[in-house]
Amino acid sequence: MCIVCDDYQLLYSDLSQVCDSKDADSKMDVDYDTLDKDQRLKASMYLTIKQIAREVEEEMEIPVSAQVLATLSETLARQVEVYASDLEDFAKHARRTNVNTDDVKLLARRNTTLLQHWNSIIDGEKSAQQEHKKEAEGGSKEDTSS
Amino acid sequence: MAQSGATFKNKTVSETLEQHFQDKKVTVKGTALELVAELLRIFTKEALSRAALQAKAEGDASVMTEHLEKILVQLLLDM
Repeated sequence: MCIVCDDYQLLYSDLSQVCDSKDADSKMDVDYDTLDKDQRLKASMYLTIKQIAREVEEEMEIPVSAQVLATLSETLARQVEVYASDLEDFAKHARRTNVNTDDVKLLARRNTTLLQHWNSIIDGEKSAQQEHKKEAEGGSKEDTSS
Repeated sequence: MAQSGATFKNKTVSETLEQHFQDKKVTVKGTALELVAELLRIFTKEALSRAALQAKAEGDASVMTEHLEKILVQLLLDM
């Protein structure tokens, strides 16, 4: 049995025990605390990868092996390193310590489809914010006129 | 942002990124963080979907690492 798969299955079962436990027992805290930060992050990533894999299994009507999930977790971890390094460089280039949306959009500079997808998300958030603003302003106007 | 389906937790993404920042003061928050989480989700779903297509094209019953390996190169070039 693959060592990598075993590690991820172990991490995942620790995390799912924590998530499934309904009672606010001290046992839950102990289980969670036994994972160090590194393992906790890995387990959380693996959990989401597994959820996405279930979606794909349903949509494509074909099962995905555990080895694939483990390999993909490792691949994603390496990609995150690359993205982190790039984002830090972009922010530094603009003399900032906080990474903003312009920095993230630079990651998609060679992928126009991704950029369009991101822009539609950003526009969706902006119009939601504007609606909130209008509601707030509409409320205050009613107060002054009464 | 309506997102039906599994997404990476914002806290997980930001803490994982911060592990790799050389300057400890660098942070990712808000919309920028959501975009990165979306990027990781797309990467994962795309990898799995392409691998699944590959497995089906080869007439295999399940998606194995060999299928993932075959699509990985093109995926990394496309992303």
